[in-house]
Formats: sequence, C-alpha cells, structure tokens
Amino acid sequence: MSSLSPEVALSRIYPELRLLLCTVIRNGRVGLDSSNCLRITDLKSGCTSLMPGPSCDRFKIHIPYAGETLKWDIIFNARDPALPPDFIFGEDADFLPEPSELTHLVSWDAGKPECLLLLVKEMLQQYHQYQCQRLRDSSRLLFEYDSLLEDPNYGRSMEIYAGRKNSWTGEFSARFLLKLPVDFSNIPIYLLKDTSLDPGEDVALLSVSFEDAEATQVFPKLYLSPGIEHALGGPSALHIPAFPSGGCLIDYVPQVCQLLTNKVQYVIQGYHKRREYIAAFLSHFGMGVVEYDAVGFTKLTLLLMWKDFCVLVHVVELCSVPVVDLPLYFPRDQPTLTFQSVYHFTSSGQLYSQVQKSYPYSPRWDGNEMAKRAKVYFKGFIPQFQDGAFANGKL
Amino acid sequence: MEGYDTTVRISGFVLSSMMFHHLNSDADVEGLVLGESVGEENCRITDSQIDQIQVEHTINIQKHIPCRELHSFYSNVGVVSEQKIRQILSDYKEENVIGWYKQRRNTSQQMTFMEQVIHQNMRKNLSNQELVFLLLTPSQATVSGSTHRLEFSAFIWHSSQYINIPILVSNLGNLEQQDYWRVSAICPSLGQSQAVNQHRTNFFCSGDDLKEVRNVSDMNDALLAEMQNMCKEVEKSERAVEKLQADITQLKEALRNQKKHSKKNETQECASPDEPKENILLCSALRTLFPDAPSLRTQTLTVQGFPVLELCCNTDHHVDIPTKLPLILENQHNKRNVDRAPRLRKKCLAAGFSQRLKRKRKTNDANESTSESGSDTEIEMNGQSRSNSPIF
Repeated sequence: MSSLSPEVALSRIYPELRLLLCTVIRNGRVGLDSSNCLRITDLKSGCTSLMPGPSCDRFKIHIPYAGETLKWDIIFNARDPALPPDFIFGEDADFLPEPSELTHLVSWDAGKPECLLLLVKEMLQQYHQYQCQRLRDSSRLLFEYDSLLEDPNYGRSMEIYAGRKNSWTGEFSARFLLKLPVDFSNIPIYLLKDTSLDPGEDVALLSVSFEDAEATQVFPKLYLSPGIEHALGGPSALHIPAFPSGGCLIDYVPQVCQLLTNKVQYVIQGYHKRREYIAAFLSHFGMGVVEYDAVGFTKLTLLLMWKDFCVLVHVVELCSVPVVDLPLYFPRDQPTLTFQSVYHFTSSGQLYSQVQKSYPYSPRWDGNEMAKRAKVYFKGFIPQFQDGAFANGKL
Repeated sequence: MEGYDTTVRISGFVLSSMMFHHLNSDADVEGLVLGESVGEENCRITDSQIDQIQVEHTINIQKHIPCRELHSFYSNVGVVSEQKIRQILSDYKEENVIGWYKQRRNTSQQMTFMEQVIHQNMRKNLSNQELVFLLLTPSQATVSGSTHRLEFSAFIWHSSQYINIPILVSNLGNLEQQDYWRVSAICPSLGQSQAVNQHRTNFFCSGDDLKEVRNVSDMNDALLAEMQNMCKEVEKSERAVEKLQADITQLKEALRNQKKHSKKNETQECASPDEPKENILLCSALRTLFPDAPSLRTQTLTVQGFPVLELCCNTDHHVDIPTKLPLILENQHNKRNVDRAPRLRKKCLAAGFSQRLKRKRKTNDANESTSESGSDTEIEMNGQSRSNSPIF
C-alpha cells in the first residue's frame, strides 16, 4: 500500500469528485492528533477499463485516532457523482453509525467542498462512541473512562481505542489518548519559531495504554508538538512519572498535566528573568555593553577598562572582555562568565580567555542585585585575569 | 439442541445471466432477487438418546431484476420505500422477493455501511427475516488487464451480525450423490413440459435447432459472403493495377528505346572532329543542282584550300528530292543564278568548305540578302518549314 502525494492522488480522481477530495487531503485534520492531514491510498475505479481519463472513485482513507490509524474504504460512483459515498470500516466490521444522526449524509451536497470532510468527522464522533461502548467488556477500564468523562478538563478531549477481547484468555486492551489542558500561549515566540519545524498547533497529548483489563500493565507516553518540544529543551527535557500501580487515570493525568505546566512556567519565568537581568546590566554598565541577545536575552558582552592606558582608536582602552551566557533555566542555573583579553592570544591563535562558573550568585537576587554583585566581582577578578593574560598569552 | 444451517442455491444460468448483464456496467449496479426459501428440519437420534434437531434453510435464487439506477428504492440514509420496490417488481409479487444484490467493482467482499442499513430496513419492510444479500465484486486479476476475477458471496443477518453463507451453483445438474432429493429441483416451474413447450418457439427453430445458433450462423454466412465480394473487388483492382503497371513498363521501355535511338543518332551526327559527318541532304542537293561538279561534294580540302576529288562523295543517298527538297526543283526551273541550297549553312565541322561557300554566295547574288547565320529566318523567307531538318 503506497502513499501518494496529494497532487498525484488528485490527478487520478474522477474530475467531478476532486473538489471533495481536495478539502480532505489539504485541510483534513481530524481528532486530537491533527499534526498530519488525512491521507488517501489504494485509488481504484468502479468503471470498466474502457473508461478514458482519470476515473478513480473509490479509495482508502487513513485517519489518525487514539494512536492508531483507521483505514476506511470510501466508495463513490463516477457515473453518479452527486450520490453520497458509502463506507467500509475495515476491521471494525460491527461498527454501524446511525445514519439519521449524520447530518452531512442526510443532506449530502456534492457541490460543497467540505461535505466529505465534515461527514468523516461526524462518523469519527460516532466511532468514538462505539469504542467507548466497547469498554463495557472491562469494568475497570469503563471506570477509568467514566471518571475522566466527569472532569470537563479531560472529558471533552479524549479518544479511546479498545482492542478485541480475547475470548479464550479474556485479555482485553485499550488505549486512552488525552489532550492536556496546558496553556502554551505565554511561551516566548522565539522559542516556538523555527523554520525547520512545522509549527502546527501547540498541543500536548498523553497516551496511556492498558495492556490488560485489570490495569496491571500500563504504559504512558507524552507527545508534544514540535514547537513545544523545542521550547522546553528537546525530547529528553521532560520525563513523566510511571503509572502508579493500582493508580487510576483521574489521579495520574492531572499529575502529568501539572508537571508539564510547571515546566512551561519555568521556561516562561526564565525568559522574563533573563530579560530583567540584561536590563539591569544595561543600566549598570551603560556604554560598556558591546552587544546582547535582544530576542532571547541569552547573551551579553561587555567591554571593561581598568587603569587607563592609551591604545589605538579602534581598540578600546580596556584589557578584558567578559561574555555572559544565560542558561535556559535561569535563574535556577547560574550564568557562566567568560573573560577574554583583547590583546593576548594563546599558542593556537585564539584570544586568551578564562571561564568562571563559581562566583557570588544567588537565584533569589533580582536583576539589579545581580548586576551590582557582578560589578564588584569584575573589579576584583580583572587584575588577576590581566596578570594571567600577560603571563600565559602573547601579544 | 438446535443448529442452524443456511445455504443459497442458484442455478448456473441465473448467476451467469446476472453476471453477464452487469459485467460491462461503468457503475455499481443493484437489483432485487426473486426465489423461494425452504426450511427443513432434520431430527437425528443417536445412541445417547439426545435429539439433535438440525434446521436447514435453503434459499433458491431463481431470478434477478436489475434497478435502472442506484438509490432507486432507498434514500441517502437507507430508508427503503416499499412503493418503489413494487414499481421495480412490476408484475412480480413482493412475496417472491428473497433478497437483493449489488455489483461493486474493485472493492472487498464485505458489506458496506449503507448496505447493512438498507438490508435491515428491507427486513423490516418486507417482513422477511431471511433476506439474503448477494454481493458481486469484479476486479482485475492481472496488471495487464488480461484476466479478470468476479467473486460472489451471500450475506444473511443472523445472531446480531451479518454472516457469509455459502452459495451452491447448480449448473448442468445436481452432482451430489444423495439417495433422496431433499431440496427442490433447479427450476421447478420450468420442469413442466407444458411451460417448456409454450416457450419453445422462442428458442428453437422448426428443425429443433437453437435459434441463437441459427442466427449466429446466418450472420456468419452473411459475413462470409460480404468478405468474398470484397475479395473479388480486391482482386479486380489488383489486376487493374497489374495491367497499368505493365503498360507503364512498356511505355518506359519504349521511351528508353527512343532515347537510345536518338542518342545513337546524336552520337553518329556528333562524330569525332576527325570524322566529318556527311550532310546527306546537302550532298543530294548539290548532286541535283550541280551534277557535273563532284568537287562540291567533298568534305576534305588540301592545305591550299582545294577540294580533294578522290574523297568526293559519289554515293547516291537515294533522297527523295521532290519530297525532301522541293524548292531545289522549283529553283531549277528558275534562273540558276540563285542557289538557295548553300544558304542552309552548314554548321557542321567542315569549316573550310563553309567559308568557300560564303565567298561564292557573296559573289553570286547582289539582290539576294545573304545571312551569315543561316538561321531559321532564312528558312522562313524561303517558305520552308523544316521539321525534319538536319542538325548542323
């Protein structure tokens, strides 16, 4: 089964059906996992081989749902394109939606481009109900579902996929996919902006797989949209706790939610703290600031002078240049100071420098206090640095 | 203990006619199937004294009625209309409806969402709990399209689900080895000879030949006759072409010969400069006009410019003077101071001789206007048209 590019798929579809398919392929994002559009494969024709031109009017549609991919057959008739499509629900042979509740089937309009997509969404809602009904095979899992349903934070953004109950062993598995109600709107834009990543919707999904009906084997996994993952520091930045033995989703999900929220808050606060820090340094060092990161506030370069001596015009009358690197989890993590001489070089041709990580610092200080303490430290350290530069570097 | 067993029986010609009817359709096709459903209860008693009752249902499909278009007896949501079913049935009874069928190309052997809904609604509307749904799915078996496959199966609602039941096709006869006939024959209504006789004439000719066979045979004969006529026409035209080609070949040959001949003549006339060509007409004219002056009939001169008498032409060329040179005879009767023959200038390669003629001409005639060219103009003045004039 090969996946076709949207353009190739559309070119093979019977012309009068293209509009409907175009909406599905290009704008078809359904369910909680809307990072990828719906895709279609296995295009076939209901006409004889003598029919000229593109005549495909039946195909398979792949729908992401609860961590699975549903493969439904959709059957049109090229000779009667105005008629509504028919469906085959793959392995879910006993799934039978109530047709009268499918508004876009009752009043099917082949001329409306989004009609098919809306019909698929309506069917998916009924499919969700069907899966929830299947949880009745396990009282334990039904309890999990009912308890989550009562909570408005999770009940409305939940997808469930119940596997087949093994009549011999009684084994039954199910997967819950929940959209966590975390506010990502205050994350600085620069952290989310990355041209190599598809921005999409900022979303965090928690998938919890129950391998047995008694919930003794439970495997949770957190999925973050690419932008959020990047903003939080990469795939390994956040580790969620294991599902507690004997625990239940109604306790576990809020715990994960809180953990994620805290992380996001850390990132947001760190940003604001860094901005405050830079502002304080600008205020204290004024013209001594060479440059700073005005977007993320992660770097600051100063040019300091100790004991006047005359040098060339384009070279400042200072002997050392410290660079400050602010970490992501500032002020929890202490910034690194790198002192760099403008005159002295190492044997490898690099500017002579020294890195200082332990200096007077406290995350509880505000930006102003940090700037003051840094100034004091610079005054004390620069003479030592100068001696070191003269001794170890070469002009 | 009760078991349930259902089979669908369909005769070969009913199935094949259904397939043949729709195989070339460019869309999905559906329709109703008529027949009867027979139930048989079998009771088996074993040593364990437990009665085993086996109910066997056999659904005999005897006819299919296609619908003209899709959605002809149900709505978008599968609501079935009894009235529309009656319209489709026309003269047939609704009680004989035992199910419906659908042909869907290039799809799987599985009931679709709407088919299930329609079937449920038909079961309610027609009050027949054992309605059968026949599904035909033609598809391409090979990539090249040389082989096609047509799968068929039947579905029935049982125990809250649709189950696939086997279809038995009775073709040339029931080949099962059984002691008693427990199911009805292939087509019980057609088993009556009266009915067969009534419809016999639709299929058989007077000589007990199948009409279709005779029709096809007649058409074959007509095709053969047409082909024969066409062959004759082709033969005729081929022969005409052959004749024309032969004519063309002949003409080409004649043309070639003519060219060869004229080339030969040219070759003879355009002899090497060392062999002067003899102007036969001139020679004959000179002989006629000046019979006593053989020196005029020589083409060879000495260094001093005198004719070599030994090389004079004494041959009688047998030229018909009155025909070829009539003016000479005319002029012979006139005054002999006009000698027109030398006006025809020899353009041949006997150069010395022509110069002498020139001098002679100039001295002879003061009234005559001499022309150096000896062109056609002079000839015209003489009133002669020389279609056969020699080449100078």
